[in-house]
Amino acid sequence: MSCYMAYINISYYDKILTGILFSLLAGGSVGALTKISLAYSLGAGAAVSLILMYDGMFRNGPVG
Amino acid sequence: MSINLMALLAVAAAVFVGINIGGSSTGVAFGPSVGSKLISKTGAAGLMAVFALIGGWTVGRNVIATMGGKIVPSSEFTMMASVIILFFIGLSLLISNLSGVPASTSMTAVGAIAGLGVATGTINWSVMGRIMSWWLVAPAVAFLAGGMIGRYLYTRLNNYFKINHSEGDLLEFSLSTRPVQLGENTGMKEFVSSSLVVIIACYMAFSAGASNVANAIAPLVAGPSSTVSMNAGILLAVGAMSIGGFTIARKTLDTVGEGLTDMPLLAALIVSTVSASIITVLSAMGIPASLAISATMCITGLGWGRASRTVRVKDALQGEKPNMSAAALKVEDQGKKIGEESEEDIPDNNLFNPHIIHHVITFWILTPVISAASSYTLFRILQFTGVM
Repeated sequence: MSCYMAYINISYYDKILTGILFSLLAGGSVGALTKISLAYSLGAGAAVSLILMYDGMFRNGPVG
Repeated sequence: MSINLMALLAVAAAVFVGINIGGSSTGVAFGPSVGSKLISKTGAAGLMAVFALIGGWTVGRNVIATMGGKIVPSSEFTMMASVIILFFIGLSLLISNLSGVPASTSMTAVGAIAGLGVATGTINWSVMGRIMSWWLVAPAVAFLAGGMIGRYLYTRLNNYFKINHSEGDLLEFSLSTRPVQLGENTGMKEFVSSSLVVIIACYMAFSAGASNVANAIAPLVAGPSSTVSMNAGILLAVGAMSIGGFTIARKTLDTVGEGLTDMPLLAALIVSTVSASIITVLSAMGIPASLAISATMCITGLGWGRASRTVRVKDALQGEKPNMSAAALKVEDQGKKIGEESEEDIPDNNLFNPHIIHHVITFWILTPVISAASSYTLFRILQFTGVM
């Protein structure tokens, strides 16, 4: 159980980074593959990643 | 006021804006190179002039086209409107210089132009929406790149990339069969890494030129009664920026301990490369965007990613949080993996205080909003009093 917990906690920052990457990639793909403008779809992806950044920096950040 | 006096005022305002932009961007781009004594201040200003010109001349015209005719039609840029917009850009530069918080010139400029557009009912919301959307994307990408490098690559890069300055000149010149040779004590590795520092600074200067030329002259070039051509405008803007590079930047470059200069060289190089690339791509698309914001978000990501390596299994279980600080970037690698590093591995220095980040972000959201609101108000008053 403790191993599992440790894995979850240590990989939290990996998950934040992966989440940012995927929300931007998803936004980019929607813009590239559909008729929705790339600027708006990427912007939506960026909005999601800003939430993740907020969580990773201010809520659970490596804060002194 | 006669139209000639107005035109003169507009050119003077553009030159003032250009000089200030040149002063600050030379400091940002060449701080690391001058700080590590690879080139002189004069050399930095010279390189700044050359690369800002290349950036402005090639990529920069797309941004001028957007700011001078796509957000609002170019017919709206009367001499008076141009002077007012340049006044707002100059004012924001002044405030940011006084307060020490780097405001985004591009965002202020777009805000002031949008204020004009709303007041005259000519704003193109679709273009405006797309610009604002990219303003979200740029910092997210910068943070992601910084965070990835900081968490997964930084320590490894740090091992490869060590600049040890040897005594004596980097290169030796002579009139022999090999006119240029490495200095007596210069190793090949030192030569390559030192050159890289200067090359990246030139890249940063290129992107600063590409995105900032429009801030100085877009309203001037765009107007219906304008006598300044696009090419002449670019030369004027870069000329003014160069004056700033040779004068104001000497002081900016002296202030060691500010921004990029205070960082380890490797971190500064990563940040410069990432942010210059983002701004170059956006400028090529004609999107005005802030080099300062991309750079700061990349620094933030780098510090955050580097500090996140210190979470240990035991602490993570107990919910203890690691220290996040810029000094995290200064740590020499000891080959430790994520989770193995402890806070003791990182000297205490709180440059990346989340409160400061919070403050800076708030300031940046406010700048374009205030600029748009005051420009709108002023243009409405002028309309109301019949001046416009």
